[in-house]
Amino acid sequence: MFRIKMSRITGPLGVGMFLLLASSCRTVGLGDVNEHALMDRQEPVEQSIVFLVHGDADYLYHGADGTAHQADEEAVIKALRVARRNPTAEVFIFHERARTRRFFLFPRYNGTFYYFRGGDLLVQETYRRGKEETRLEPEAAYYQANRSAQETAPVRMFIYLGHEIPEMEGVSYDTSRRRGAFSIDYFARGVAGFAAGSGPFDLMVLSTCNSGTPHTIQAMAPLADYIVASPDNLHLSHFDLAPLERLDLKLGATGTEPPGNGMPGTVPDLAREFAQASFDRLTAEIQTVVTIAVYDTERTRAYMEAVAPTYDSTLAVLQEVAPSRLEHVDCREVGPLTREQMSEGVAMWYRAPRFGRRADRAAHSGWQCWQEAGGSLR
Amino acid sequence: MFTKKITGVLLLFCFLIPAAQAQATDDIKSYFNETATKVKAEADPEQKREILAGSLERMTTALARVEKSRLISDEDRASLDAFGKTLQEKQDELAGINGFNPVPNSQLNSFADYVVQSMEQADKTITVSVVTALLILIIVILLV
Repeated sequence: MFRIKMSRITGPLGVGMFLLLASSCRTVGLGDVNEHALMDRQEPVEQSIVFLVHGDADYLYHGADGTAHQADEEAVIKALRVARRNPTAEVFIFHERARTRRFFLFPRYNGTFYYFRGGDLLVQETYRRGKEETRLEPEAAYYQANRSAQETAPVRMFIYLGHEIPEMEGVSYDTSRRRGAFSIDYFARGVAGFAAGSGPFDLMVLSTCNSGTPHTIQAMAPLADYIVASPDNLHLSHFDLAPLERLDLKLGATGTEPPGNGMPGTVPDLAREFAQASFDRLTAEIQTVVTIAVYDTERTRAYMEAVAPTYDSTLAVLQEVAPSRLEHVDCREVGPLTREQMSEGVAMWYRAPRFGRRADRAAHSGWQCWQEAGGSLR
Repeated sequence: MFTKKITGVLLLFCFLIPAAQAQATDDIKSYFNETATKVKAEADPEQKREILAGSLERMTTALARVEKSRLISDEDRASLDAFGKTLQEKQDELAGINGFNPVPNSQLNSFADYVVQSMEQADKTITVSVVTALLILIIVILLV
């Protein structure tokens, strides 16, 4: 924090500079907007959803009609809609944005937090994002400070939307912070901050490319019972979020039995509906590959544990290879990573790309691996 | 002359690198999006094919020129090389050579979308500091 002798500040300019500095140095609040509204709303919730939307990178894409879209902004809009259309849920939305500076010097806050309960916005605040190993600490702090304190555990979900999270160490992830490394291991540690005191999430969604790998799913498995991910590339329009609206009509109170209105009602049912809806939309609009998998993290454990040593040693070796020489492939094409039980616990939706060398692929195992371009695993 | 032009633009963008990086990548995507828009607006399949082939060829040529520059690092050269190879594959598929069947006339619009969408995936962000600045130069070259 800066100290400025008041005697040396002269005129409005000096006061203005002081205020600018003070605002730049302000530490993260824990949601001090609309405190009265928050205090008045202590009703228990049946669902608790976290959306973490990454926006500090290139997220431009174009629709089939040529119109430009920003994937992160559209994801936030859809998450806000989910929040407003869930009368029995609390919803946390974090939008991680690029770092910008006021007058090229003073960093602005680069995260926005929204908290909804029962469909109503109770907290909205900007904050400064964390870095590297502490990357998700600010968000986890907001979550722990605002989440509903109740005896009955709600059905809990964590949805991440962004670019592929690196599996190798030392890779930068944010356009505005080139020196900041990020990895799936850092991400897992960050998400653990949300799960602390509550246990694993019932459902996790990783709306990124290449999120269905043995390493990624194994890293996230302690944090979620079911994971929806894209083993191969995923178009920037992301997964559909509409299936997460009106969960009061879709889920029973605990997510393990029907809600009594004829709807299937369990979390695995919701995960499959979510995957199917995204698959239907993507295959109708997108010419590139579409892969969506739902992983039962308990049933997939045997395969992940069997291949983990080989996969992890591959990562260590490929760490030294230039990224441009690496490619993702179906683990079924990589001999040492193929197992009989690799389909156990994986529900898969697959449509091959309409063009390119892999247009003739009939299926995908649900697991994505690495190799050097040209086919060498090492 | 070419080297002086690159140097001048690089110096300019040193002060605005984050914005320049984002803009460079967006400009590349917009370039292919404009190609797709023109393809779909054209009724004649031969003209569609010509628009696609010309667009891919111009980008490939620009990449090749930048790759030869002594100003870029080996890592960036490798990135540009990989990008160039993916573009070459699309050119080959359009033409039906190098193991590909030619794209049928009825699928040229879809192929144009495929070119656009293959660039708009949520895959990992790469370190594009210098590469992106050079991609800006590619666009500059294309506009000349």
